[in-house]
Amino acid sequence: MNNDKTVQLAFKGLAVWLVLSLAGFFLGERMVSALIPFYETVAEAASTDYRVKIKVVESHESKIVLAATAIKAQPITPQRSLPAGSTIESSITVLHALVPLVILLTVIFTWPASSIKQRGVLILLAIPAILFVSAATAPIQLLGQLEIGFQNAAAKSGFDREEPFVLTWMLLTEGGGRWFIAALTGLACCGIANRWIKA
Amino acid sequence: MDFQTLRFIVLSAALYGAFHFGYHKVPDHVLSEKVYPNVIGHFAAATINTITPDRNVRVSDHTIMTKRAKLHIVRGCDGSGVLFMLTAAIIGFGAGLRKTLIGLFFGILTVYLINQVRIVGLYYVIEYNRLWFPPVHTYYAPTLIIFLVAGFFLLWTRWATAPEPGASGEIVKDAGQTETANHEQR
Repeated sequence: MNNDKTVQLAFKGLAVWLVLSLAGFFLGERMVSALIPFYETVAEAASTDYRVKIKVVESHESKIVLAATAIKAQPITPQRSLPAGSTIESSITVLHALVPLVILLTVIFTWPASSIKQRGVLILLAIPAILFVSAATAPIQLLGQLEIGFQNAAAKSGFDREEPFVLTWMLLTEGGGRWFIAALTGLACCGIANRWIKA
Repeated sequence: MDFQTLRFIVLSAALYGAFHFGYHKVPDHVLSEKVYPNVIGHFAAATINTITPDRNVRVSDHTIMTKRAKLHIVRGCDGSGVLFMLTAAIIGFGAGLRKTLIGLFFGILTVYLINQVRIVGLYYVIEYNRLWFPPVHTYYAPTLIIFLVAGFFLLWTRWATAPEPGASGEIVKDAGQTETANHEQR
């Protein structure tokens, strides 16, 4: 790739990032609302202890709110537990949930496809990629927020509660892992498209 | 997807995980009392004081504060995620030792400078309009920083895979492709 092409690619990437960021900022609630049933399915698959209901609450800073109803008592300490049937809530902002998707789509749309056919394949691959990145981030983060509440309650009682997997995963992804998952998934899509459709 | 790309993805993801778990072994008080003030806070405060001398910024542990605004640097919002990403990507790319070390040196420097700009920028955002802080902090800044760091990575891979003058043989072109260079002597 020569210098001119690199500069062109940089400007294209900047433009793609700007368009996607603004689209997410202004239309994010609608985009996330479409993913809510998928979030619920993933959350219930990741944690079979709850019946999950997720909704988008619109406000100045719109939020995705998860309401989890315990199917069975959830132990917090040996003496204390969340009774079965209790409902607890956690939330994240819509913008927070959109960050990995903006990164993923920026990679996919900036990638210099060698033909229209390859671009088409990339766009098709973006659909499962969006679902994969969404599944690995937002629903797990919502479940992880619940677990943080339990961990804090246990710590206040002086009990060292074992860290559940959703919390470990949430900490991994929240530190920046969700950005990397998005970037690597985007790269994988580009690699697959390159392999399928040769120039 | 070819083997090179798959190897890059798997190796860099594993490295990221290793860096993350190592980072979480560092106690909170070490970060907030030693690392954040000395590595991030004082430099950011000096920058703000240089740009706007009337602010008289103070640094107390992980907090940068003035009469107008207060900014806490906390675990996860300290630039570590981007640093781990870039470091994992450079090592996972599989260039030679010299080129990898040069990439790490300039990569760490780039991430540090970008993060300092972010911290200083976030301070002014809080000072100017607190309502802008959440979208800038959680949405625009992370995605823009990833884009800038990806740009650095792209430039570094171009440099790292450029054929040495007079060299021949197989070189790594990018994360997913190989090509032969200078094979044909005409």
